Amino acid sequence: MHKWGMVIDLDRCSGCQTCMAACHAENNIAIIGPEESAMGRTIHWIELLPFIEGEYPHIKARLLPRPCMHCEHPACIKVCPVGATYANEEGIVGIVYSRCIGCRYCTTACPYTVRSFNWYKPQWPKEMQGSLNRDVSIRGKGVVEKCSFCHHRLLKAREKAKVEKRELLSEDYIPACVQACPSNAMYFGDLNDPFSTVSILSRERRAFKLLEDLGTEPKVIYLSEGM
Amino acid sequence: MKPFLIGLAIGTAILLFFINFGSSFRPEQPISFNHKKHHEQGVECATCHSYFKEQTFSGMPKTAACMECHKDSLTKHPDEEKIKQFQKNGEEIPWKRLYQQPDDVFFSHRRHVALAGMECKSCHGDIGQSEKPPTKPWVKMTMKWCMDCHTKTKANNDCLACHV
Amino acid sequence: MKFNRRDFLKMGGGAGAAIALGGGFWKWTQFPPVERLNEPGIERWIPTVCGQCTGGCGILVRVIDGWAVNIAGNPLHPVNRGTLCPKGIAGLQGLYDPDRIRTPLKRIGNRGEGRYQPITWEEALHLVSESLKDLRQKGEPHHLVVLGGRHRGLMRSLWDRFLKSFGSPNYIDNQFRWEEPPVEGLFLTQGINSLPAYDIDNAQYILSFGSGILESPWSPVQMLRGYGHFRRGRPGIRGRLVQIESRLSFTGIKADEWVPVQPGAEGILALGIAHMIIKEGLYHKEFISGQTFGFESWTGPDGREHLGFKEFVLSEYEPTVVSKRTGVPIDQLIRLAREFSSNQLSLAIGYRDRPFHQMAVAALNGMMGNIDVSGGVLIPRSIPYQSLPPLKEDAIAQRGSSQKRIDEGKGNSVDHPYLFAGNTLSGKPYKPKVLFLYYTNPLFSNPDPGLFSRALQEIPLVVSFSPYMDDSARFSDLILPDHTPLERWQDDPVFLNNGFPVLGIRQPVILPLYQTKATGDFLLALARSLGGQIQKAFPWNDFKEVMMVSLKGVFEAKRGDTFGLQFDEAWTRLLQRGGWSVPSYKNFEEFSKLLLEKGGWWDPVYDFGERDRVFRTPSRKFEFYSQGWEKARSSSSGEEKDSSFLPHWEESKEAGNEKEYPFHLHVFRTMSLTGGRNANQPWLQAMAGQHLFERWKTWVEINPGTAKRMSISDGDWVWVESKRGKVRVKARLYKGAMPDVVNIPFGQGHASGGRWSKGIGENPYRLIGDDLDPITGYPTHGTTRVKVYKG
Repeated sequence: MHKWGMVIDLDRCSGCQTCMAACHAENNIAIIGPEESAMGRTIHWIELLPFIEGEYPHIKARLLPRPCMHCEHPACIKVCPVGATYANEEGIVGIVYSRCIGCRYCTTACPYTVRSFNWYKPQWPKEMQGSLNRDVSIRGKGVVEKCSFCHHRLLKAREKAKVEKRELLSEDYIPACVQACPSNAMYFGDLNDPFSTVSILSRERRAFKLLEDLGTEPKVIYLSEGM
Repeated sequence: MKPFLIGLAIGTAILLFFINFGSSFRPEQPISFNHKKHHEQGVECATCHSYFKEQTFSGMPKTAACMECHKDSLTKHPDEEKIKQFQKNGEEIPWKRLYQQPDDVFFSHRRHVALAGMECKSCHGDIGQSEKPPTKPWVKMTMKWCMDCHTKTKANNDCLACHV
Repeated sequence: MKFNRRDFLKMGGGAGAAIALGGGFWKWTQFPPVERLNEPGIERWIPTVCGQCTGGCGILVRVIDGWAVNIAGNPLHPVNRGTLCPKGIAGLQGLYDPDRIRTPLKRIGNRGEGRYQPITWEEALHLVSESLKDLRQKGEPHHLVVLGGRHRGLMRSLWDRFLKSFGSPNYIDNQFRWEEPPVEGLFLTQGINSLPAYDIDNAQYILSFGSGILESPWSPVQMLRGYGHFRRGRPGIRGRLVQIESRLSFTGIKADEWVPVQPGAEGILALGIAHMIIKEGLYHKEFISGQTFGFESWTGPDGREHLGFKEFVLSEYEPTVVSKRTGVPIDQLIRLAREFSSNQLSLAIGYRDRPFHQMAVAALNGMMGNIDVSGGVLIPRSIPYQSLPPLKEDAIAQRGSSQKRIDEGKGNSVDHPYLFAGNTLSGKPYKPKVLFLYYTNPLFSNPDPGLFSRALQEIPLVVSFSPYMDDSARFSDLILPDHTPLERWQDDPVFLNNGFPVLGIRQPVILPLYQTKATGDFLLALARSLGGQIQKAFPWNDFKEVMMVSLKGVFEAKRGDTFGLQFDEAWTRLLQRGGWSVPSYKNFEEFSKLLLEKGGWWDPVYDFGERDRVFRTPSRKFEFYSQGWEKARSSSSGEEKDSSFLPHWEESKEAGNEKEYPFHLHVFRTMSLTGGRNANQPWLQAMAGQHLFERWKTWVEINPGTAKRMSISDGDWVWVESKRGKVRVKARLYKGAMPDVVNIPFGQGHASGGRWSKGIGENPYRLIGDDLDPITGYPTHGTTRVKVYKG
């Protein structure tokens, strides 16, 4: 059984936000215009979060790309009254949109604020409609959405591997953000395989997880900057 | 009680409206395609629905595919002329889709046919023996219908296996 | 009949019951099938070159049912090796921008009013052709001016050829951007008029003088890939980055050390560091004695004594002086000098500051011998195109071409768009009559855009080739929309950080969406319609044919190969030198087929030590004293001081006094919006200012202490006013702002454009433009002063 996880090396990360754009394109994320954005209704499945501390000129700033952590003990699942969100056997925290009733308990419960709510039915001008990704659903009004580790890519990859009568290889399945990252700061793979790149990196001295003391056990591991 | 009855009447009216609206929609295919006849001539499913072994979808026949056999008139059926007309105008035959998955469902023909070895029949019924194009799906594909089979065959029942 | 609330509830119950009873029936009736937005289909991945910026990344476009549905990096393309940047991904939104111009347009309203009438391409060609014929009939073909922007490759050759055969010397390059590599510095020290390659992948210490390495490099993906490698790509080696800049940019955040200096003061800091390196004798003595000129004092052929860089810097740029001017403490300055000179592979990178400030940064590399070495400044070879056949000019063309340029520039690289605008207004030496705008939008993206809109008013016929209604297109009389990059053929010559030349091939991935036409094809049609020698100079049917003819040269060069996997450079070199090189193609047909399949060609070898290529100065050496500039200048003025040919600091005339305008204005670029060309792409708008969670607007960054003193709170709307004008923007308190500097991002404030860009935010370039540099003719960076007040 695989346990999918991600490693983000902050020392390589340049803060360019390619991951954000790649995610938008891959997952048919709604376009949120200026008015709605001003009300905080933006949707980003992965977002670059700034942490700026200290006072001028001694500033310690950090930029942190934050996807869904796909926690081992996710806070979001426990609060969902309809079972619309759950963790599957491989540890991916998924949402069944047709079950979601839009109560947003999960958006509140998630300590990493990875979940977004669709306030409206997403709209695209007709000139753009055909350019949506055909592999991913279009969420309706009133449902919550978040990063799925591009699970649809796993479905395709697994099917392809089966047709070719071989095992699923680590390079068969990577999320869009990892694929696009120009400074190669993101890694993806199987945490259950002790020899996978993510496993090896997760044991590095620089490795840390976000809000570790909450006991959520994220499967996204960061490597800190510096030596 | 009286208001309840009025409500009942209004409700029935609404219902009838929807039923009418719903049932009046009987998609009429542009060509009155005879599956049986083609089948008898030895035409395989994959000849017209070319992709179900390789792709998630099965695909509908392109005008060019029809023309491969019907270039010279084979029958006296008026629809044969229709196909030629489509080809002349450089158009594809506007087949109507009967089987529609909800937007958030991932369904793969390849997975069911090529990997699980299922027959077309299991979901599409005896379409090969039909003489007229069907106007409604052979079965209403509800999630229960899918899951019944998945449970029986011990296939993957993870939500994420179908919901993307 | 009256209903009370209870009745109403009962009524609802009745209706509910009826619907529930009917539910069973409802279940098996079917709703009309809706057309799905994400219908699956057969996919193809087509390699091409991204056109969202100048980076030249190879992309694969996923096409389903004639729609481009996704963009991924081309793993074979050496510039980006399968990765991308946010702009590249948003290329889809550039292609499917719902506000694209769909047919040729002719103005019917007043200039800038934006009222247009669609016309056919035949009409369009006729209109342009007639006015050009008219120019030639009157014997004034030089009144045709082409203002060209950020494009490269054969389109540029085609424009030059067109103007030459038509008879105009006026191709004016309007590419200048402060954020670019310091080209003037390279010319002054190495005599080269093109972009250098910075081998950051192999450097160990980077001293960046205001260079936006991580936000606005000319080839972002390549630079970011290099950055990743610089930090973590080499076992046991972690590159160190120091950012000297007046704002804590993303580069500053990611750097190991941020050194705040006032805008435009980076150059004097470089001289201060040079002073310390010389004083402590830490420079590369061997390189300096063998391959440089003007470091020590020297005597000219006329017996005149000249001041060397060494003495000049030692006497002029004492740490105390530099520290006072920049605000950088002396001990930090000394430490930077020592770090820079003690690291084996250290590299100084500047920006397009004033030329002699650029030269100061270049001199640091010269002092350490970081020229033409791994991890240093490299000079890439050019692509071996087959040159187009020689052309015959008729008498009118010869007379026209020999006229003075309208911007009075001479030779190559001397393009002065600001002089062009100024001279158009003054009518000296003459007023242009027809202006072509190709890949440039001076009414938005040049500082002081107002100057250009006044100049355009003076020109009877302005033709824009923009596929989008940008601010300059809106001011044009004719708009002849080009295809967008994903719809057209084009060559894209670039180079890698390590100096390897790369030729990307852009091919159409879908059929053109609208009635647009590739500008190259239009130019060929125009030449045909003009007849005579002009027609003869352009015997090709379309731009693709021009491309294929030129690519013969690449095939025949017998170097390099079409894109493939990583390779061993030493091995390739050995094969090529020995003449045993076996490319993957045998004839030109195979070559061109592979080009389209793989995405392009490259020559994965860098030849070190070819002095004639690397140093094209009069001395054939790295010049601390620019003889090249001395020569170029000699005609215009008499005796000049030695220091005016040495790297030196030039104090700017500050626009406005400090009392009235207490703040420096620093205009910066973000990774997502960069030049503002992509502002109508909502994915990019949605993340324009992620460090402050700002999007869809323009903000001004103010130091929190300063803001407090001025009673400005986070989120207040304020005016930022310079001598030139004012803009109303949202105040954001940012700890990374210096107390006396306010920062505004560039990219918003389009007066026209699409639904996602028009009227959004403000253009800070409207505040800038007084202080033109005498050499580049371009406004200097960071010299504008502003005041800020609530409103």
